[in-house]
Amino acid sequence: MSSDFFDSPLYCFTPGKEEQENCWLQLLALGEKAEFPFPSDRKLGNCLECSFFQKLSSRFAGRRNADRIAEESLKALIGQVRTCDSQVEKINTDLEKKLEELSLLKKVSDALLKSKDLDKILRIILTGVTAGETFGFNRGFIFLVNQKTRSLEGRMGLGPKDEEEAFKIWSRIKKEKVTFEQMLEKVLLSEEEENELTLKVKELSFSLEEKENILVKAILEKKSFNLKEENLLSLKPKELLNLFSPKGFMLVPVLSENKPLGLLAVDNLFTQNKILEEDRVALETFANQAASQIENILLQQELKQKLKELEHTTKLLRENQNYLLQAERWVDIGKLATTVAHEIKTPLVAIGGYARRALKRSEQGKPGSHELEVILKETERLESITSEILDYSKTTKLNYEKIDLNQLIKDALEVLKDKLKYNGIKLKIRLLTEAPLILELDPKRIEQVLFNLIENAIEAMPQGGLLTVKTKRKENFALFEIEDTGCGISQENLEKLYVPFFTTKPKGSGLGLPVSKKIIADHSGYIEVKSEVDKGTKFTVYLPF
Amino acid sequence: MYKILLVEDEPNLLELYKEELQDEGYEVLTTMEGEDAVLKTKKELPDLVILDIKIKKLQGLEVLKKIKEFNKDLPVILNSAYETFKSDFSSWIADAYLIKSSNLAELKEKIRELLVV
Repeated sequence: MSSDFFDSPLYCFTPGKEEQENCWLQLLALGEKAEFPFPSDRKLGNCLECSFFQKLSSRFAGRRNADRIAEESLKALIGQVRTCDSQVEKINTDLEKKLEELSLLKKVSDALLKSKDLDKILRIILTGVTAGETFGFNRGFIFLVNQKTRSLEGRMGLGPKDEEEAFKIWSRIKKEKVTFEQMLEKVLLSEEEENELTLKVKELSFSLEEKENILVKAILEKKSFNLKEENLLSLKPKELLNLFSPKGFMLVPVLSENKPLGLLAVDNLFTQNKILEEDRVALETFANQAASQIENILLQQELKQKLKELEHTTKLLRENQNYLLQAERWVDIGKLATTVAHEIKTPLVAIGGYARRALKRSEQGKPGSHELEVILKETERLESITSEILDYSKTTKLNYEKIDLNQLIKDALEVLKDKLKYNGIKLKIRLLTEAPLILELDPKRIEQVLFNLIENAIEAMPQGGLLTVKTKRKENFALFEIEDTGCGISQENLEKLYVPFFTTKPKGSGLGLPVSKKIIADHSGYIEVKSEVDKGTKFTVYLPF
Repeated sequence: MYKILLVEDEPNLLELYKEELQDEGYEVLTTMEGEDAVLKTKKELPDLVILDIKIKKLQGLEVLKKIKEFNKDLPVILNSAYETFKSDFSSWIADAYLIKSSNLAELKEKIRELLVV
């Protein structure tokens, strides 16, 4: 071979490949078959531009027509092959990218399934969008739709807060070779505090009626938007400019069965890389994947809430049932009362009345007089019980009057003054005098309550003691306290305190407190008791103004 | 001597009241029926009437009305086992409303009070 063959480069640049390669044609020409033994190793590179090839093919062409046609065909073939090659390259690259996306999707899906915590789920989604080679956006944000308030609310943000932090994070990831899976694991296992970005995003809330708002638009139209720098000039609302990168950002609605759950937003604040259209499709797919899990969690939360409400309603129903049962009992008692009044009271009047007459006639000490006394006493006791029963069943027709509570109490104490003295009970009175306690109440009934409580206190102090009566004011209630230093009420008796006919006293009817409680309730007030065995008891009655 | 008309349908109580009031020195007329009570009032002209209301309250109150129509100044004491009517009627029709009790002291006191006026 002549030397002019060797002044063309021995190397060749194949399109799509970075490195130089040996030109197999020349090597062959030199007799170096060993370098490229198999024809399948011989790739066509820049042959059409290569001067060596030109020279070779011109010699090959010759002068005959057939040869020239052959030469042209060869060149055309080479051209086609090259085109195919580069197409294949591109397809391969695309495939690789798609595989990466799928791999990311799978990793994220797996992680999503591992958690029922909404915040963790959102964090995983944002990690998928910011870390990971597939997307690698600088920052991600999630907004969620609040159906009740018809608004879009900022929920979470992920990303470095400034360039310094960005640099630190990315170099650490590179140095420690943190994998995507490791990052996902970390999210699943740790309880993260809210970062600055999340706090910033949580301040944002937009009504779904704001149709000019680009975020709302994305939700209502179920479309994604890739906003570039030039679009931002006319952006609504202006607050978004404080949040997103001035170079642009992308919004992708998160849809589940075509229902908008929220919005995913990304930007490249630090690297300022443009967000490409192909990213949009990938991001939409990603968002849909996340949507089903988000919806799942939201439904679970709703279910929990509904269960709670159901429990509450059931509790209310049960309380109402009890109330109704009680009310029925009241009605029965009411019916009983009329019978009691007539059938029992009337004979009692006769029995007692005659016993008294007989007692009058016989003198003290004479045989039979003691028996008559007993008959009389027991009759009186029965009369008092029947009176209480009738009180208990009275239809409540309160006669309201404007009464000074302090005066009412003073009057009641005046009536019981002698009884207190007789039982050796000291009296301490602390009435609130700064402002008069004028209430609308039925004086006779409240007096009844006072008598009941004070008499109970007296009975609790058979050896004497101290009775303290106080009046106070608390918010829009006036209250009075009746406190004794008597035997106190045990825990189990406290529970039965207001149960009709329950009494620990041999001569009691067990109706005093239930009636008092009813009277107080009829006045829209309430009663409280505190007691300690052998120390004393304090009743507090609250009456509204 | 004062004359008292006693209207009561329970025989035992009627007798008890009669004896007790006689011991107090009153002349006691008795009846167990409402209609008869009105007749006796007009005929015997008692100084005071003790009237039982009973469950059939209308009957008792009818009698009360008729008596008062006959002589509005004639004192009438309503004597009943029930307390419920106390707040409804007593204050403007009868002169007193008492709850039946084996202790007749209150009744006697009331009679004395009303007869003095």
